[in-house]
Amino acid sequence: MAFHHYMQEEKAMVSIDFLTGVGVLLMAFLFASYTISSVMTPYSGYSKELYPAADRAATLLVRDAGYWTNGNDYGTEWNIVWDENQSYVRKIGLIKPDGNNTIDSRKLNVFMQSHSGIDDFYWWEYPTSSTEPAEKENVSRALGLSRNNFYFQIRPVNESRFNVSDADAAALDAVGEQTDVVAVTRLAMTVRTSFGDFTGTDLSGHTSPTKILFVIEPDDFDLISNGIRLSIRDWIFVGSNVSDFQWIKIGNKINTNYELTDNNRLSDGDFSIVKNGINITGPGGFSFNNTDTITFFVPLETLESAIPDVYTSGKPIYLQLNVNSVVEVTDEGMTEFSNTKQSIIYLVKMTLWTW
Amino acid sequence: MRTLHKDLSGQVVSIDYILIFSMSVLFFGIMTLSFSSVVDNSTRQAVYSELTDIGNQVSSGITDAYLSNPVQGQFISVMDIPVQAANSEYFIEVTDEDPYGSGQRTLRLTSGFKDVTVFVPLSSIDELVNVHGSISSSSGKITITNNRSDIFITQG
Repeated sequence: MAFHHYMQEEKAMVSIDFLTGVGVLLMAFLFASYTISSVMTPYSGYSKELYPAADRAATLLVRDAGYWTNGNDYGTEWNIVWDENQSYVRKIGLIKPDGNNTIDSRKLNVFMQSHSGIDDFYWWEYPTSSTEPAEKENVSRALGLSRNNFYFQIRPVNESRFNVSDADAAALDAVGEQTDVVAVTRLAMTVRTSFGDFTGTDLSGHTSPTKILFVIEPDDFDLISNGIRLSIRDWIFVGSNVSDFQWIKIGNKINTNYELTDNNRLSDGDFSIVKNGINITGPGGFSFNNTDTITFFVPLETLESAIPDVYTSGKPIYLQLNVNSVVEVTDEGMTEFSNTKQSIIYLVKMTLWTW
Repeated sequence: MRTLHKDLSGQVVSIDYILIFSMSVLFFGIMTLSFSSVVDNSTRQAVYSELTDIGNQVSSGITDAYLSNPVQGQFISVMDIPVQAANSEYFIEVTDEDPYGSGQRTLRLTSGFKDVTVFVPLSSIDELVNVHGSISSSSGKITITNNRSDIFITQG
């Protein structure tokens, strides 16, 4: 007999042969059954829902303006309330509510990481390694992707305007080696808005002594990314070609003479100054003439320290620039930052990866 | 090894029959039960899969209806849906049930076959517009109506 030669008695052993045969057959059958069953599983659940969920989320992102409400007020410009309370934002949509179906870069900048390219072209990504989990949870909810992991980029279609390698590497880092990933792409136009520069004819404030007063309304707070940049050129001087800078004040309350109080004065280390492209930040004032371009930069930390409730008070931000009275201020009043707003429009591609 | 019985004379045949019969019953019983279980799971997965496809088709239809954004009047879209999924009719309804914990409404699809229930997210579109309605699949059509303030799903 072929089965186990060490057995002393071979009678009745036919049943053990049979048992062995059936056992092997049964194991083969069960193995085949469960293998086929497990092979079917990946095609039957979560992975099937990925593409349609990503498709709907991508479509709503580039074709809807979004929605916010705090129970009393509501609107589509959710970027204005994002810093105040992210839970007010019920739906994230990126387009401007003007019916032109263009992506508003102001909405991108409030939660996405922006990367500068060439000639004011930018690309954006979300989330990044520095994204707070609580914020990501709010974004997931407002995108309708609570169930999914996701990453998306918005980049110019013109690839000569940004570093494609950086963008590709960022996508690879974020998406990695996931097994079930779907990618949905949409094309759209984007409008990138930013504050521009002032000229001497734009300046208003307190006329005598000369205190130039600038104002940023709450609707434009989302344009303040790292801080407030204030650049002035083509000054109008009276009686002399040389003037002196004295100090800057910042606050959210002015008197009837268009002045901030002395309590609002910034210290020397609270801001930086660039004159004709050269950093001249330092203690004390400095002289300049009417052909100089002077740029002041007040970082976000200074702003938030000077006005702790800057985003929640609903009040404007005022900056007062004290200079020698040689500088002419054309009107008694305020210099509106919003008057310098400038926009560029370009074609972008949005890709949403979901897994 | 050992023999199955000390005295083998005159008993081999009967013990063979008993062993063969009992083992056969045991093995084929296990095979039948496991086969039934495997087939049942696969059937549920097939129903789940089909309902998921249908639910996503309807959810995308609701998104398209919202984005149609009629200036006046209403937007009406009629979609074809399968009358049966796994040889059984099913129901579609907009529900507050939220198995994903997202705090948002979902589409619930319930099959009469093996009581399979599938939830499909509305992609938070319910934050933008009220979505209502429930239908059965019996007509094979679904009507999605956007009247600017509400979206209704009704029998087509």
